[in-house]
Amino acid sequence: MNQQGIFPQLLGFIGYIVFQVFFARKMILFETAFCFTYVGFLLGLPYRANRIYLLLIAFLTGLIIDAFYDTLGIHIAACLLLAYVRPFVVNTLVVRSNVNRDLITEVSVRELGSSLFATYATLLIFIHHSIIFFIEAGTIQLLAFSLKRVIFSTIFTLITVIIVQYLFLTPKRR
Amino acid sequence: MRTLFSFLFRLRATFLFLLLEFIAFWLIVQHNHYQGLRYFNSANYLVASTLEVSNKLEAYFYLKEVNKRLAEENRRLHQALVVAKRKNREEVRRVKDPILVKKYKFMLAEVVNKTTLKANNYITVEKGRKQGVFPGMGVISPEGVVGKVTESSTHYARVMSVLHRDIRISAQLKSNGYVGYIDWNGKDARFVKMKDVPTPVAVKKGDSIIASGYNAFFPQGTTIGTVAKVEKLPDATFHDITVKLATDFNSLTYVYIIGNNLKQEKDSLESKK
Repeated sequence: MNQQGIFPQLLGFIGYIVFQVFFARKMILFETAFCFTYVGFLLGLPYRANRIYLLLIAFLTGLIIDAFYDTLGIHIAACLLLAYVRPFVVNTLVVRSNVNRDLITEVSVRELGSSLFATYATLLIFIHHSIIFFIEAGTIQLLAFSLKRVIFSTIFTLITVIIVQYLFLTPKRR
Repeated sequence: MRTLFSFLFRLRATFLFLLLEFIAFWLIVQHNHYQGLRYFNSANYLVASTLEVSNKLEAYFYLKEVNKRLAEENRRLHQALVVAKRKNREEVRRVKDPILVKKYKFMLAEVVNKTTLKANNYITVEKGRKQGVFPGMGVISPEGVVGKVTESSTHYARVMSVLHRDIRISAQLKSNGYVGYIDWNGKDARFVKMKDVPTPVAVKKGDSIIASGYNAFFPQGTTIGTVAKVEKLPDATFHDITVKLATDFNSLTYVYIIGNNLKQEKDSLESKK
């Protein structure tokens, strides 16, 4: 189904969930910027991953995170939307850039380059966080309040996702 | 016909997305009302024990603060005990029914997980059905009210904190006994609003707010907080009262769960027509 193999993916999945539950869950800056590093897992799935597979993985990830956050459904909804729009966003960005589309196997800083990856991650993280904070707030009265959280959390999550990308940068296979 | 099928087949990912998204929104709506879903929250054994490990690590940072608070509480209780003992000797002689004397039962429980920054906050505690914790019980901290139990599994319970939109706590002004209710606006974990207090009632900054006898989960007189700000809006019939909570939710480590031995009797009486 994909070139990356199921075992490294499973390891990555567990790694992201453990990091999210033990560390990122507590990392809240100024009561405004929340950290949802676990979206890095969904962002980094193989480029040619089946769309059905993406949606199912997103559902499972959301379900597990929701159990720990006591927000059943909210993370599922956000992850699903992220997984659904991901192929469109990746393709649009790759087509407009000078990266050779046929050589891409994974969506990472290494293969896309840092600026393209950052654009891609920012867009998807923003969509994901908007869903989370707006559903959670539930009313339109908290619009400005939630928007502030969405923007600062997007920045925070983006930084951690990119740090993780550089930390686990493996040499390129030729 | 074949083109129709191939068209639908090409859209299979979209259909799956819509179906799963529908399930997600159904879960969001049903979450608090549907019993079968309680396995996917923090009272679940696997989730709760993981959160416990994570919280035990964090608890070390608060040890000093907690110690100080417990010592202070001990001092206060010792003082109260002396007064209560004297009073009790006379009262026990008058009240013959032993259940009225022991109306409330207190259980100490450790907090294994909590949130304070969400629009609806919950706390998970390490006491469950096995220790006699059931939904509907009140939860307080040494300083004041915390919330009420909404779910309990064998070893853990989930507490809806005061910082939750759906909680309704009947509150009372200590100075004149006027009763209103407590409501949270979803923003600041230190403050709540007290509603339903008409403008003719005198309210001053610094007045104590206590739990009224109308709730079945807290003993009457449990501290809720103090009035931080009173605003009189033009043409409004009610005061806009901001209450500073006595409980500091950010450093909450231990709580007391209160069982009301007479709750069932009160509820069954009130549900009669």
